[in-house]
Amino acid sequence: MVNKQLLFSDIELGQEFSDTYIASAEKVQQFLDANRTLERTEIEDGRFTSKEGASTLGLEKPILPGVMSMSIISKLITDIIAPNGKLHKLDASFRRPVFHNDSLSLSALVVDTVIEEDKGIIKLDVALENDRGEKPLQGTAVVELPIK
Amino acid sequence: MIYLDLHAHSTDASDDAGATVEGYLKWCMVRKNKGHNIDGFVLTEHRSFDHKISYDSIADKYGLLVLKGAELETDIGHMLVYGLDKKFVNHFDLSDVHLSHADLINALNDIGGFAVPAHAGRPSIGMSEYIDNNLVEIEKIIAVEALNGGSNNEENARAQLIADKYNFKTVGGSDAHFVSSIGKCVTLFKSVIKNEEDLVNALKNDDYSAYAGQND
Amino acid sequence: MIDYNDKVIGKKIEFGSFVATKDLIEAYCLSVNETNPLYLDESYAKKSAYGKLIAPPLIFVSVQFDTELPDPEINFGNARFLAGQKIESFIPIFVGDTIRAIGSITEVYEKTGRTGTMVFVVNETEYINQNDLLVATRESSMVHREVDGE
Repeated sequence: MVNKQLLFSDIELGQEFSDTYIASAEKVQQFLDANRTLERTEIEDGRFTSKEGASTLGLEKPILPGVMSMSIISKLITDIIAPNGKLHKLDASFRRPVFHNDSLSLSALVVDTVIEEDKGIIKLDVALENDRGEKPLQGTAVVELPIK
Repeated sequence: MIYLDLHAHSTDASDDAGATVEGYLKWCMVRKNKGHNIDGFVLTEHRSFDHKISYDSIADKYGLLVLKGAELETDIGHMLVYGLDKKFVNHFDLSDVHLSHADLINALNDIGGFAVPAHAGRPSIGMSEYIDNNLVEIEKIIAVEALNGGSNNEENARAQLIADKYNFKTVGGSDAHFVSSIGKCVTLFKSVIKNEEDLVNALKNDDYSAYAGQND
Repeated sequence: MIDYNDKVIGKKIEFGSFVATKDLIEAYCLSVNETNPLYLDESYAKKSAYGKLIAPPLIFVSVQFDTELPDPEINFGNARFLAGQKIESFIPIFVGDTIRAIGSITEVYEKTGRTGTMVFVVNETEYINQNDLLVATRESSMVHREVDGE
């Protein structure tokens, strides 16, 4: 998908961007397969792929790696700023697990817009919300958009 | 009347916060412009208190109030503490996650401070389960945080039940860690509050309560 | 007080390196439904400001190395989870770049939450490309706590 480039002047305080993502077992496996050395973690406890592995940690279902949740939210951000914006910072807290097959709502809320050193800087509050109304990931992002 | 958010964390001192003080101030203005009630907030950083920092000048820039307290971890869950001074900070190891609530409240009374059990209905870090197990010196408690922005409805309802049962006053705080959460829960005071001393006086003597209805 | 080996704090470890191959980028993009042509379409990327394919900015989080940080020997909890991450990105990772990672444990501390007592181990990693340029930094917090597993 090629976005029409958003400019700094297009962004308003309080503006919200959103998307959805289904955390299927297939997607988790694709993420784990992206770099096969992750299998080492799998050997440890299987928390990302099997119900048995998850249950050893008191979890009812297998979960997504936290870094995958972060990658999912980063995809929303790179969609917003594409093609020529830059993601400078992403800070995420993982407050609850994301389980396999969770239906996730992704959000990015503009909480500040500022020109710093001639750069158009946008600050965002970001979150993943599941269909139980919980926010397993909350955080912030700092991005740069072209001024012209 | 003044509406204050009594529970907020910033990147200045809280390990899990993602908001700056100025970010909160800007968002308070967004909320005010939408018609919400918010006149300021109290920074209650986790396990720390810096008596040297003042937010007065930046708060004045926005016409809002920014006060300082702390959120400390005790044997009956987390407590919001207000009116701290250098003597108090030197006396207690604020990083200790098992502080005695009785000692803490006694010390606060000595310096003219005030303590409020935070998110009282939450498991493990809220006061409710400790009350159930008779571990709380009830007579030392005057108010509880019955409306907390990070607690779910059930947890806030549990906190309100405790307040009703023991006739505690109630406060509201967003427990904000991110900019857009500030002011979601506040406390409505009837007296004028301009500094920490006024806040403690109000918490001890005023007629105040947690104030809901701040969500977008 | 937390019982742990504080000698590991600040000890720098070279984890190893990875190459941002087209395959790695495509597999990562597939898993998160990423379709941005800057990462996937060579002809589009060639005409872009970058002049060639780049990787999504967080590609390195999917890479785990065989070398691990020294064990702080936390004498608490029976499980550990990722509690938080802070990423700072400085320059793009281009397809074919070799990225090496160097990290250290920076802090161990205790706090209490909904699940009881928790011990946090914080580590920082620097990602450096083949030209010795700092590409990104990453701060991760791992939480150690007690769970009721089967």
